[in-house]
Amino acid sequence: MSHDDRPEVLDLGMVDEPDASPAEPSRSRPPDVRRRGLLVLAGVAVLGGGAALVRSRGSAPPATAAKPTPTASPRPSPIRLPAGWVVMTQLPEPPLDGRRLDLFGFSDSAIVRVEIATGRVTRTSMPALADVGLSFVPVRGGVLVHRDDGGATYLVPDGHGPKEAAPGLAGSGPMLPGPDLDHVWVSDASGGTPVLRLVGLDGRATGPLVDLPRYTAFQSVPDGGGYALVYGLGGAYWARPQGLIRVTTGAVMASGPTGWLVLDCDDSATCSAILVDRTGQRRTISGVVAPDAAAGIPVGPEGALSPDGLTAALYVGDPTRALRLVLVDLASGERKRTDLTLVGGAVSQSLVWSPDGRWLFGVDSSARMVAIDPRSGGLQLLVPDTIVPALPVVAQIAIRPV
Amino acid sequence: MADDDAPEVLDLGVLNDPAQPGPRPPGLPRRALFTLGGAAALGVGVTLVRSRTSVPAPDARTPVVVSDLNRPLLAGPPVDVFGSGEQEVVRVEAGTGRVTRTYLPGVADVRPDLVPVDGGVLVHRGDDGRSWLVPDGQPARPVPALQRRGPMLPGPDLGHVWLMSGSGPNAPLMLVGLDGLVLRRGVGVSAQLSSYPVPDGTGYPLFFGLQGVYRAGPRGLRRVTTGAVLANGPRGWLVLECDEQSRCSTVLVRRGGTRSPVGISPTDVAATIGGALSPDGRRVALYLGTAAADPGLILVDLVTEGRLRSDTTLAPGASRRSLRWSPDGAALLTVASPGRVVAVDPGTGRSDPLLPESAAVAVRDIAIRA
Repeated sequence: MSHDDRPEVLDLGMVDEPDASPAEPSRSRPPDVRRRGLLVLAGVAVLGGGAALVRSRGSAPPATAAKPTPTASPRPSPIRLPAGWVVMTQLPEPPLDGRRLDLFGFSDSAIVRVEIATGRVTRTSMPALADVGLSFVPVRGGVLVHRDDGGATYLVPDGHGPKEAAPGLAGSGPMLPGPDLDHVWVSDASGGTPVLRLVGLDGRATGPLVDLPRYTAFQSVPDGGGYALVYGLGGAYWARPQGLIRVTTGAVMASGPTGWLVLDCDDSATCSAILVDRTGQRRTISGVVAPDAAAGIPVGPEGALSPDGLTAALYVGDPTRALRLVLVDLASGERKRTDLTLVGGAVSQSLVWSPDGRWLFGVDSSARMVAIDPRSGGLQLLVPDTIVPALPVVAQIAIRPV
Repeated sequence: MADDDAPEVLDLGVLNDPAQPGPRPPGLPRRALFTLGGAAALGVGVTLVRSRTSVPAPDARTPVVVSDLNRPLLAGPPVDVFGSGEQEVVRVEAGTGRVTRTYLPGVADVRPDLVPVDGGVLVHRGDDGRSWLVPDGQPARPVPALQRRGPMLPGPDLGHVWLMSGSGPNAPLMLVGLDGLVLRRGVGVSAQLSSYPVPDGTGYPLFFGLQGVYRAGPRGLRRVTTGAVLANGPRGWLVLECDEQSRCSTVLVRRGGTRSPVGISPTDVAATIGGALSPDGRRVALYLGTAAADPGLILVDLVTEGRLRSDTTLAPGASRRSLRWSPDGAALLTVASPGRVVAVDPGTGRSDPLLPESAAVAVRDIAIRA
């Protein structure tokens, strides 16, 4: 690799560590004004991106007929990549229990990676992409940043700056996590009928195509288990290689590897919460929806089912005012409050469970990554506020086991 | 009627007729009458007759202008066709050819709801909730009792309308008399994050939600479809819906709940932006929208599956719901470019202006009162 290609890594060392002696050679160099300005701008830009994300997950289908998924438009020109800016910081000690897990925070111009096992925090600045929809997918050895307008996809290898990924990873529509860390789903509408292609990190398609509903209300979203959910005309469909199957005619309230918690309403507009597992079994869950709820009751941001399928993490309240995260025991219907509340207009309602269900990760009203202990509902910051430079606004989070 | 109560009306009499031979009716010369017509707005009730010029637009000084084409404009049962323009409301009595234009300056910047009622038509701004009543043949007047944000929908009879009971599309509807008295409250679903309710074609509202489309009829809420309503009418709805495997089809849903598939390919109608079923439920008129052109009107015979493309396109800025069948189904009225009301022959797809050019009025939406 030539010198020019080498990512610019800024290792800030330990947080709260005493300054190195002037006599000692500096291990790091302080951020210059230009870099600090970039981070500030990134924080501003992501506010719009966050709003778009919320809308795409929570809006209702249009009143009139759903539109066919548009065919792919000409691929936008790639954005010239600046030299990567990578800033690394070592926390005094690993957060939480030091488990082998990477937590990512995404904005439209930066990626934050928190290595919980080591306490290292890595920030990678991206080309400013505030004006396009983005998908972020953790993969083995890095993160894919996908332009949903069909533009170039970027690979951000762990600890390095972004580079353009294989052309086969580009496509109009979102990119979704695949069944494993070596594959992702890429949307493709070039043939008229929208499909998902399973693509390796080398850009090569592998496996069968997955058909999507012809009349979609929204773009596909992850199903929580390596496949896709898509709101089509008639409800939310689970899209797998075996075909499409309707999960609900209503709304998906939470997704997870074992299934979905959905809000279903019957022909007379009586509604209930239903737990749908991946075999199609359905069970009514009490305590989630008021007994007199009618069709159209507010459905908040999409929640997350715990890996064992026994608990649903849901935001409740008025999205325009304040939301509180609650944990619903799906056997008893009992709710447990957590300390995570969001003010109206918060940047992100993103939620993700650790693979063993020991922790739940979210984003607080200040767009900081937080961990919730599901046993107590208690909240703690993943990265202390004292970190310099401050972390960017986080609009979405994801995990990657290591 | 006392002089003070006399309407401020400029009655232009019969349009485009040759001058009648013989002496002019007694009274002032026509020019003088026009001048006085302007003064009518100041409180002097004046009725004028006869003109062969184009109909002047109503204004603040002459808020009501009446002309008479002196011939039926539509075959079949007589109907009143109302249209909302930028600064006026026009009423066309299709059975007689009488045209009444009423000045209404408060709606130039919006496309208001137009709801025919007993003895007039209500005009309603959804953005700030202001409402006006345009009594037949009289100047418009505000109706503070019906001031509510959100849409105003036709009620089950000409004495009531539907209004939102709160702010936003999630609030229930209430059925309100023309005096503002509430007859029913709490009607409907809160269609979360979806559009406001729309008329179902029979005086009840349709709600759009994540769970489908519901009608709030006299016996409560019933789901019309888990998909999308393409067209509605007095007999039912044409819907596009999809099954458990996302296989989609067009279905005719009758008011009683019976459902029958229709042999229209979903791909042919998926671009529908507005539609209306004929009164007998046999035909459907659909505006199909594409980004490349103004929405075009097609007519589909639901029995023979024959499809006919009309020569009509929806006027820019016109309501996509401005498709109104005449009560006998012999004509379809709509707002064609450039904002003229046309009558479409459903047998041929050919359209003709409802009014001659000399009497034409640019409108953005229409409504019918039988």
